[in-house]
Amino acid sequence: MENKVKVSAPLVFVTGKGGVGKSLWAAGLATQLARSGKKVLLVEFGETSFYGFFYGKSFGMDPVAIENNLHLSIWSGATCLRDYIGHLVKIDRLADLFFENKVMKALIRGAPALKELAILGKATSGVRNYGPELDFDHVIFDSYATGHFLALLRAPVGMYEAIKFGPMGDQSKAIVKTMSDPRLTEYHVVSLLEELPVSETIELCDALKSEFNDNIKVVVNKSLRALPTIETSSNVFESSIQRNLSRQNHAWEHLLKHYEPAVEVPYYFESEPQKLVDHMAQHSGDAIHGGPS
Amino acid sequence: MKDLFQNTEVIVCTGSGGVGKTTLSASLGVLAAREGKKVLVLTIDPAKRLATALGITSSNTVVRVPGQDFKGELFAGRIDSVEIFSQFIRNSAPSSDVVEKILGNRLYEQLSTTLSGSQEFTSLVKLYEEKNSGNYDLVILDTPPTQHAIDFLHSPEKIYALFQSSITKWFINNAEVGKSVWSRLIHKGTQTVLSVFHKVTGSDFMDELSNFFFSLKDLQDNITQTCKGTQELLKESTTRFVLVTSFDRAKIQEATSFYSELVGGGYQLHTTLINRAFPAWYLKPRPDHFSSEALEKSYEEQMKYYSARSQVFDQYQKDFSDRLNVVMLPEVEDELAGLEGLVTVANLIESPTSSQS
Repeated sequence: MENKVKVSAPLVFVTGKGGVGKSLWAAGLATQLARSGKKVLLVEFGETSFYGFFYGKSFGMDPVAIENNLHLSIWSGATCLRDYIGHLVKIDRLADLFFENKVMKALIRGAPALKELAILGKATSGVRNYGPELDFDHVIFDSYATGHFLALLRAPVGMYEAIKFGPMGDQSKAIVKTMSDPRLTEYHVVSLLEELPVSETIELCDALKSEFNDNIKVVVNKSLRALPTIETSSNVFESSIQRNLSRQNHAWEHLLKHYEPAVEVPYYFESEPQKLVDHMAQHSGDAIHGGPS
Repeated sequence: MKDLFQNTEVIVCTGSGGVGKTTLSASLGVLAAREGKKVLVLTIDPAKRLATALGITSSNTVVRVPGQDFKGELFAGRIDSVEIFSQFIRNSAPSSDVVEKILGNRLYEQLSTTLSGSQEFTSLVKLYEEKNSGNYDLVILDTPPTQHAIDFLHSPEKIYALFQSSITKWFINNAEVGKSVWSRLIHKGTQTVLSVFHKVTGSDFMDELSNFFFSLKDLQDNITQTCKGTQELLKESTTRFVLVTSFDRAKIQEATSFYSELVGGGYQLHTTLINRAFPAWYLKPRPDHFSSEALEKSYEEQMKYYSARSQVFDQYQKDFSDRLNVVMLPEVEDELAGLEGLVTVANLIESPTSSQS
């Protein structure tokens, strides 16, 4: 079996429990797609950058090239909103006025779901042909961990239920439509072979499937299952490995009852960032078919 | 480690998601109870197994952890954010009409679930309440999973800013005159800004939002007071922070900046717990015999990996050991179950195999 994930949609959201290796998987995937000739944007959500530390560069909203065809960008709710409003009002000074206004500042900080909508609005803007141009074959989002991720995705759903009409309702509806279309959006759920991450993975996949779409790829990370199983050993290292192995096998069986993993990434005992990304990249294949034209 | 509990009334366990914060919070509770304290551990969304170990059912109520035999006593509670938020509104609103108006607002659900900082806010509300109840010697708070440890500290500020700033006053001043707030604005500059906001969101959203803020005006005093109270509580001399982190360069880097931010902000970071820093076999001598070549190869590879990591740690230790405790915890090999599992981890924290300043 070819132990690789193929990407079929232009938008890929990478999520999973905290600490399972989401950022690494997203970086590996983006790197592989870029090396296969696609124009790729890797997006980090938040205000503080992980990749900045990782690649030893500082990043902002404007995409920065890290290698051929591969760009990196960091998005926060506030910067996405700024970007969108800048596009909408066309006049920079007016947009500045808006963001410098005290009331608006507080409102943007606190108004329910505004930031979530701004992020998802921008994320889907390329395929919707709406808003500032986002010209990439694939956009890979290193998104939030499970709970926050679902809250993010549910924000436009809730907003559409509350406000059906006007720009807010229209945009929310269009965003949900994009997120629910398996041809446009796919979800990569990264998991470890441990009890908690596996249960969280199953619950998350169930939610994504019933509320959005089923183009979901489960990525198992840090697998030790390629190591040989032995009956008995008095060696401390081996008995520790065996215990881990049986725990991992158990978690694997549990996962398999619900979802078949798309890829099983072995545990790489490596701490050099770029080498780790290259290892991850080996487990992503090319795109199934070209991104959007 | 022991002095963590001396003159301490609140311990706040922070750290990014997936580092084992909840388990370690509960284990710190075990340690304190063993020392004779009456302790409450407040957790957010504990895994099923941990909830069972602590005897927590689905509700918000605090329970005495079953099957314990400590010098002190251990209690545990689960923080249900949505429930606490609505409870907070019920307690703060002057009448049931106002309560219904707020809870019935179409944007309310969005606010209580997606407003950044709402989960942090409710956990602080709960902490504040339990600490002031006087029922416990010590309250340990397991903070909500954030992307970065530092996010937690900024959450009360965010909520506070929202209600402190001109925004609520602005709604109140204008809404009382009647009808739509938006049309009554005097300042030309604000009008221009509003037209942009209108273009982005539309009238329906703006009306709903103004209703929402207007109905919140009665809560303003209480929210302001609570935010102030919780911020003060976090800076009190009897409040100590524990940072839980995993062991990789990015996380260690993050811990370093978190340390500076805490100290700069006037908080007290007492201990950094590096969880699952190395496997238990790492400190043992090299085995004489391996069952297969693959396993021997894997041993060499892992050994190399963990020694490289411990060099990173040594640097960190050098930079910080004079200022704070750093405790490295080995991986626990056996499945942890029940209260016994927490006792096992508590023993590890008490006497980890490695350095402690």
